[in-house]
Amino acid sequence: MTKAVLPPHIRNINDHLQICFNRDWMDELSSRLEQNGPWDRWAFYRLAYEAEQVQAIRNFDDLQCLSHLSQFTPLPHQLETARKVISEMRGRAILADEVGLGKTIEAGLILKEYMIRGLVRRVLILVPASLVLQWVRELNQKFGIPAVAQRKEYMWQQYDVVVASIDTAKREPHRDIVLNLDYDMLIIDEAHKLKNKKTANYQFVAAIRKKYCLLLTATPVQNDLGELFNLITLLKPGQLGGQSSFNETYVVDKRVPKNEKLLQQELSKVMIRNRRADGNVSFTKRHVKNIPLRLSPEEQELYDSVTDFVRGRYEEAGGDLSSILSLVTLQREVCSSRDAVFLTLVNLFKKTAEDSPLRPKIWELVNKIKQIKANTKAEKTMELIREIDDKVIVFTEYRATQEYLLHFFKQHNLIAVPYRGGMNRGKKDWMMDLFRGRAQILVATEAGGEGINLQFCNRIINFDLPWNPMRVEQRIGRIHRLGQEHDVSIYNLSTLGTIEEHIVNLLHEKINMFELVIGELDEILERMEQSSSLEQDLYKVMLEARNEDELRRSIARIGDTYARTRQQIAGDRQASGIPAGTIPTNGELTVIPPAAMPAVGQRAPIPPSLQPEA
Amino acid sequence: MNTDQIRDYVSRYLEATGSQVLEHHPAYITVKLSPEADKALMNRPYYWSFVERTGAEPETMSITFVFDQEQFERLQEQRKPPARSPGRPSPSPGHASGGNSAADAIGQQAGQTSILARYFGFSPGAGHNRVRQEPVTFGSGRLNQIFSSAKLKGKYVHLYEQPDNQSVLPGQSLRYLSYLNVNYKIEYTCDVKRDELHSLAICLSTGEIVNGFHEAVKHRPLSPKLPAHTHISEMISLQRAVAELEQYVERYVRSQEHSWARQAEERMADELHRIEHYYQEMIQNSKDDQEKSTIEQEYRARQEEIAWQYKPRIIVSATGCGVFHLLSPPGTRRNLANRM
Repeated sequence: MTKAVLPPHIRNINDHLQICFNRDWMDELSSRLEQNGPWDRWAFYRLAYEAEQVQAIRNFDDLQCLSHLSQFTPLPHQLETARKVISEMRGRAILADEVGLGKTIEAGLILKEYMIRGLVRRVLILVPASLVLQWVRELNQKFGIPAVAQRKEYMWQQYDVVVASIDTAKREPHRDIVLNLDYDMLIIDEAHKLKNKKTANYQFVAAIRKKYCLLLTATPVQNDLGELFNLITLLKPGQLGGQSSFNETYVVDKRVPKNEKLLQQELSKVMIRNRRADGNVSFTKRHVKNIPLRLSPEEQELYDSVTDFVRGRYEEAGGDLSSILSLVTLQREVCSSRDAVFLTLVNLFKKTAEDSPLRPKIWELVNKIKQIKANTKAEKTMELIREIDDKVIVFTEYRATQEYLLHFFKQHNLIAVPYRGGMNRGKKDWMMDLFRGRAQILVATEAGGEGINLQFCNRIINFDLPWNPMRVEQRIGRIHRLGQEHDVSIYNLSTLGTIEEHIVNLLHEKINMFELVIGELDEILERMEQSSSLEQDLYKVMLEARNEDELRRSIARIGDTYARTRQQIAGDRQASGIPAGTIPTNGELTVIPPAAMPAVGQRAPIPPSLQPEA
Repeated sequence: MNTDQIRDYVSRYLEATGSQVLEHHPAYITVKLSPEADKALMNRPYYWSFVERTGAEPETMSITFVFDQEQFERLQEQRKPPARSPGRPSPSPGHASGGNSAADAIGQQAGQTSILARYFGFSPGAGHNRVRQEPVTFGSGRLNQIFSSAKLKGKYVHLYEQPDNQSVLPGQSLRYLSYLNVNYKIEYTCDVKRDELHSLAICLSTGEIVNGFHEAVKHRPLSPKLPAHTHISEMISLQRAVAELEQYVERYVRSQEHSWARQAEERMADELHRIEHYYQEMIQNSKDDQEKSTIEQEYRARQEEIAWQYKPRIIVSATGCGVFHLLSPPGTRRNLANRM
């Protein structure tokens, strides 16, 4: 047999198109033939062939990812968005849905689709540090995409799908590694932070080599056309012309555009914004009930003593908040359960020097705890649960309270299971299963950042309340989300004559947060840019108020700021006819008018469970 | 793939790996994995390297693959022993650990409440009674892993068609027709993509090419064993055969309509035009040479990105290949086997 020479493995089909034969298999086969093996088994050969058949992508257009998703069903507008980004926007888009409509889901669908088609392998996902794990979990659980959180330097290259914070990625030694890789896809969450060309973040992102790119933001541009231009330049330089032609064509003043029709047209080629008002999604209602209760004389006595104690320390510290932050916790714990406050006091006692005058004072408080025989709140909670006679989640901030409640419920023949942050994944899932099946009550200390599915339950009892509204919203968000079929009931326990009463008032009456539309709180906090500081403000107010009246007034002030911001947002919305977060306009322009918006969800039927109630 | 197809596929995979099926049901399958399947699916390389280094007796895992979750749950519900009254006081009064109710549940399953279960929420001993359950649906990580494992284990074969015992007379020798089979995957790629699969084979004595080879031979009795009294004639070298097959593929591809590639070229031109506009303006307005060269560099990087994304190309690779010795040409009935 003569050895023929093979023609080149790359050949031209026509002027533009080449065909490339991969021949790695040939050498392998020929060496196995020479050595007479090793050979694979016929059964596996057949299975492999069938796997290829099943996984082959038969045409350019149809979305494949749907048949690959078993964990959830995307909504019509999410699928439509994914389809549009892939087939019309060529894989580079700004996803600008309002909060709560599932931008992450859309990004996941697009990513999954490209991965199934074999067009994307190496992916970089840049998100705020606080969202890294949430993204990883979401991609893993919902989409079966093996994403990892970047922790070590070697991981950039080792793993195909890496989620990292932009602040880490832009620093050496990471920066060099990232800029030397070719990313099939780049996804950036909270992309509105990249509006200034001169920042290190912007320049870093602009320098990343990428094929497909998704920018996610709920607030595409607050109020500046130049910022809009910069954001789009990251994605598709020149989409709005060069800098000067952009200015000539579109800008009267940085806040006032011209040639609006054309601008809209160009924008709709790179940006998709679904809105709640489009009616493609609607949420069920929230019902809030505050349950006032009065502490027993012993409990009230303890509360007052602890309050005096904490305030005394604050004055001693000369009003320095940071040094006594842990003490403030005492006051919150005392509203929750004696178990919670007991643990903190004992620890405090241990930490205090033996000859300190504080020691006897702390001991005195501990003795007061011993006087308390019953927990008024727990009794009330049990009464409530019996009344509800349905599955219910009880949230508390404190581990000790959680343990106490589990014990308490057990004594009273109620079946409850725990849920907390420290549990590993398997245990969490197991607790979920038990709650879904046998248990009536889930006692949880953790609400945030978990992809847990609790939509089968529609009642929450806030045994105590976090002071950070975002955390309250996260609790509610566990059950009140897309997919919840029933109205949601929220019960807040509020002990009269304590700081808790004020907090419940603030969150409920002033901020009215229990009845906000999903996503609205994000907008308010975004606008105020102080989501974390409410907690601090409250601490300060509480410690400094000399009497009940002063406290009431100070808290009312905080509430007013929120209420004003909320009104502002509503006002902007009305003035422009568009939701907050797009360019405030001269009254005429809607940057993305309904006509330019994808007609999502309009043709596709909305499941009855999601339809707005009459 | 529907539930039946998935169950069938997974069952055949497990059978091929020599795993032992403990329970077979339309909604699920419970199996004790063979060492081969355990290594391929359970992601525990440390355990296996430990077993291999120490020569310890391997303990493979048992697992339940659930194909129909709803039906499975209904079955579980029916099988459950009657629930114990929830009011029964805890066997360990005074200690209300968070895991208690959960531990009870497990204790029930295990038929006893072990001390470990009470304190840690689980007991290692219960593990034997509690077989891991996993949904296996299309798109699930587990099924994809099984697909990948099958692809890895089924790439290269060398097989002989086995004669019917009755039909071979003693002293007769068998004449085989040898085929090189290549399962080609043709990928049409630009910023979007589609695939085609072609199972081709070329007869190594006549040079005749057969399309749809796999379907034609998949039900024949094939084995790596070389039967006695065998006569094999191969005339064509591997190189030659590959050249012929590639030419066949190329001819096929040329005969196709390639408007997709033209459209991709247009999109590419469109994109290049867009950034040209943007960067030319910036280059013109640049203040000095250094700025200019920075911009030009960025421009080139963007051009490369666009070519990378849009440039249409066709990639042909083999998903599997092998030499098949058949008693009759593919596409003919088996009883018409050639005999000498």
